[in-house]
Amino acid sequence: MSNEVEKSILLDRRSFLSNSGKIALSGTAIALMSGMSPAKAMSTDSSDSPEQDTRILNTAISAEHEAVAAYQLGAESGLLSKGVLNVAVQFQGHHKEHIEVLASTVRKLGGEAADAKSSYDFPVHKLKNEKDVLTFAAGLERGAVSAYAGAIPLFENSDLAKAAASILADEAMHWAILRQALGLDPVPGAFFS
Amino acid sequence: MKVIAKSCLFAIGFLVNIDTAISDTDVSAGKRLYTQCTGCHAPDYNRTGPKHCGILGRAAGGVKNFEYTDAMVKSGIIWTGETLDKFLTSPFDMIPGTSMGFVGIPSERERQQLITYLSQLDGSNMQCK
Repeated sequence: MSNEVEKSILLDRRSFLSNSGKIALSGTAIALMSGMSPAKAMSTDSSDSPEQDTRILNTAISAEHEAVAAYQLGAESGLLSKGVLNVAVQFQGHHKEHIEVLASTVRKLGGEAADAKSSYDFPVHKLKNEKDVLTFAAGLERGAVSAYAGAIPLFENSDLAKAAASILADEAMHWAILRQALGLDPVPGAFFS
Repeated sequence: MKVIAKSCLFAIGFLVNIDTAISDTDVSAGKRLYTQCTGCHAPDYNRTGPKHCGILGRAAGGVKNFEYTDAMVKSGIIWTGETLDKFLTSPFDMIPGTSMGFVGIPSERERQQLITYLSQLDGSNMQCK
């Protein structure tokens, strides 16, 4: 199994779009996440909706917390072989980095970042062996890929579309590697649906 | 001429794919569409979003042990085929303040297929027991 998954800054696991097809995240939020200074970021967009941005970012943070918890569950299950465990911990680390970036962005917008839940309703009773754990994790990653695959065509902001494509690629790499570990074709087709 | 021929073949390929999709039942098509929701939702347990088992006829914000936004709780909406269709068309337009950052599904047929799938997530569904 490859450990060559490149780390990339994830903006979110979900769709960030409004119904009109315009981005739901303001240019400010996007700029902040890309590392631009708050002052400069704020000057790039006059149509901010900080409350909405904060709410959507916090939804993303919540999803990232869930992913961290899911990988923790798998890591502590005692069901994973050493190689798989290493990859699970690596992927968990990616999600932790996403939280740091997202939470930092929320704070820069003047909001309060969402905390992790005290517990998660994972289907623990269905996780009885390594394959079950990997299938569960693959499902989480696939869900994220599906969300972005459906969202990217609607982006009007090319910078966000580019960022979303990067996110999709990162999630897809996780998903492909998990499928590989499951003995499945890591890339099941020329197109994703 | 070759370019035109290739374009026609390409178009036919798409038509075949579309036809295949339409020939599926709404439930199975809806189940496939549901993968778009699985970044945040699951049928039988709460995640970043609430579970979907029993959604039809339920009040918005009505799943126990799930922390909703005030906007969702105060919406007064009961989830029916009609309200789900409106919400799935544009969540932000229907419930400003929702945390569901999803653009919506523009295709009426796809919304109906997804709603058909959601509607069978009731007490008789094995996933919901």
